Amino acid sequence: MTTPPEFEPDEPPPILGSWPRAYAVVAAFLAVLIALFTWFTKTFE
Amino acid sequence: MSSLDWLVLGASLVGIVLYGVWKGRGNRDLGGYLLADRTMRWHTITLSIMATQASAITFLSTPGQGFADGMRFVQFYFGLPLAMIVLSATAVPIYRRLRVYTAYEYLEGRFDTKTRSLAALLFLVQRGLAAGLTIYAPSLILSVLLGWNIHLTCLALGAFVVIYTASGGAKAVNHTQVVQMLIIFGGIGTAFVLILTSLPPDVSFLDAVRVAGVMGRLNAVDYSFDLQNRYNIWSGLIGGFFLALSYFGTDQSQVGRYLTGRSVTQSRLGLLMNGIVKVPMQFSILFLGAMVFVFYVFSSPPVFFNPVDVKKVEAGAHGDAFRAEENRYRAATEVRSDRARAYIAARRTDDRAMVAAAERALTDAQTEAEAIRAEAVALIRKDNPASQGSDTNYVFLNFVMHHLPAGVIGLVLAAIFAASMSSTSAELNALSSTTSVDIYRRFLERRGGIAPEVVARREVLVSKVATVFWGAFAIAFAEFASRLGSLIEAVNILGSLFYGTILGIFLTAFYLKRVGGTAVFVAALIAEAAVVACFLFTTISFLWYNVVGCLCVVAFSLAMSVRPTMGARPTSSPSTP
Repeated sequence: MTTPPEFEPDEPPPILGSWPRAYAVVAAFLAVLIALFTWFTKTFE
Repeated sequence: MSSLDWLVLGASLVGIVLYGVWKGRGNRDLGGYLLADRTMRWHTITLSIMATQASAITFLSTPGQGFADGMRFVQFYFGLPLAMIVLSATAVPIYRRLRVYTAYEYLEGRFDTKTRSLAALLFLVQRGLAAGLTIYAPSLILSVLLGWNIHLTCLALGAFVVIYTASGGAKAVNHTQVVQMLIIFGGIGTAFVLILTSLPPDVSFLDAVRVAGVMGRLNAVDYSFDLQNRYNIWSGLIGGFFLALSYFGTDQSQVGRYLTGRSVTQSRLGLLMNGIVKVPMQFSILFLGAMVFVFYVFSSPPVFFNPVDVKKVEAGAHGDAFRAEENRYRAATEVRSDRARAYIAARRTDDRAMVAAAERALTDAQTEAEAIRAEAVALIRKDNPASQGSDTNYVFLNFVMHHLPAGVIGLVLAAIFAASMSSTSAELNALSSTTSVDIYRRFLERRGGIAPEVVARREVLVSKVATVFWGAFAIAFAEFASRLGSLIEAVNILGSLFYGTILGIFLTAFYLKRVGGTAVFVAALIAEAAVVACFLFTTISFLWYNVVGCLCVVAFSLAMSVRPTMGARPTSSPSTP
């Protein structure tokens, strides 16, 4: 018996092991970008 | 434009249309036509999402914003990655589990028909108008630069998009968007390299960055909290988060992109990758504008970048006064250029006093040039009160046409057209989805006694007709777009008038299980009235409209749910998370 389409298994992402870790990486990337932009603004303005 | 430019542009446009028609063939039902049979992988979804958001307006207005206003517009996108996380965790699994065609279908299961219809209607109005702006932007290029009739240009561009979108549906949209994004990246990258190589030989990249910085063009982050300030980190993180949450979570033009994913994982990865790539991409485009500004510091810029407005004022009663301002501006920008060189020379010494003096002299020269330009703009508006007095949308294009080599002009124009076509096609596909699923299928369709394959064929036909209808609507609205000032801001302001309310409806649906249909419907009407009142009667920056609309829906629906008469039906609906 095939799995009904509405019950798709919640697979982990291909890297990092779990979705919360993937989300944390995206949030951390944003924080790094803001820090870099802040440095950029302070340095050149 | 040279023959080579025409060849590059023409080949790109025709190639995209033919590729879209070819890739979109063989749709037998709505699942194929509207959702590409849910077969897309994450990289296609990412490019498709990015292509949908990055319209031609991105290439016309954003570098112009970098030129005129610096980099602060990048903060507008700070909330986007956070919204991608929230949507990946919540909306994606819900939509996928329910196998919906549109986001609004979910609302009927959760609330009722009227709430679904209200959200669908708000989307149709807002997105139908925005699609008009998306068509208008590149049409503006041709009409201004080549003297074509803008009405016919809008019609021709809209028709190109309608051909492959109506023919192939979501498959055509997604596959052409991948090609379009490649053209866009190629256009941006080439333009960026050529701008840097166009700087004077004695001005290095670091010199250019320093000049841009001292002249206020590298103000990427502003931590001051001010509701009237359109772009600061707080409006970007909070208002931008709500806007992105609403745009990507409830706007069918985006929901339709990640619903084509072959699994929850592929849809989530597509969204998250967009969250990683989008901010650096916008930063790069704004930086491009800042470098165009530096280029014009060292070469004489026109006092106003819209050639049509300039020709009008020169031919009018204020022609002599305007030419005098042009001469004054030319002299002022020559002084600015000399002082910029002096500033660069000072920076190469260790003499702080000399650097400070050179910096003051340069900023004084900039202030003087801006004052003269303001007088010239005043003459333009005096001569032609209908003129917006803003040339932001023409800056980058003017640079491309006058300073880039043959072939590259065609490539950049192709990128602008590709961007316009990619977002317009997704918008038309979404408008078609909502019309055929939320209106036709829900209220008008009669299935009794008709074979399923006939019903399926008829639904695809209705969707194709809807695509053509919304294409015509968008083209008609494009005729009015020239009065809206900076195009990218016009699109975002328009979106912000509706997104907050729609987002509030969806957040209530996702998280407030005790709220019922009537309460959220009435709350949505109140919220929309509040947002319109903010727009008409306050000076609050438009990003905050999203917060106002969303919070009003949540607060009023909660308040009304406390009363037994407005109380919710207990939701054991399978559509709640």
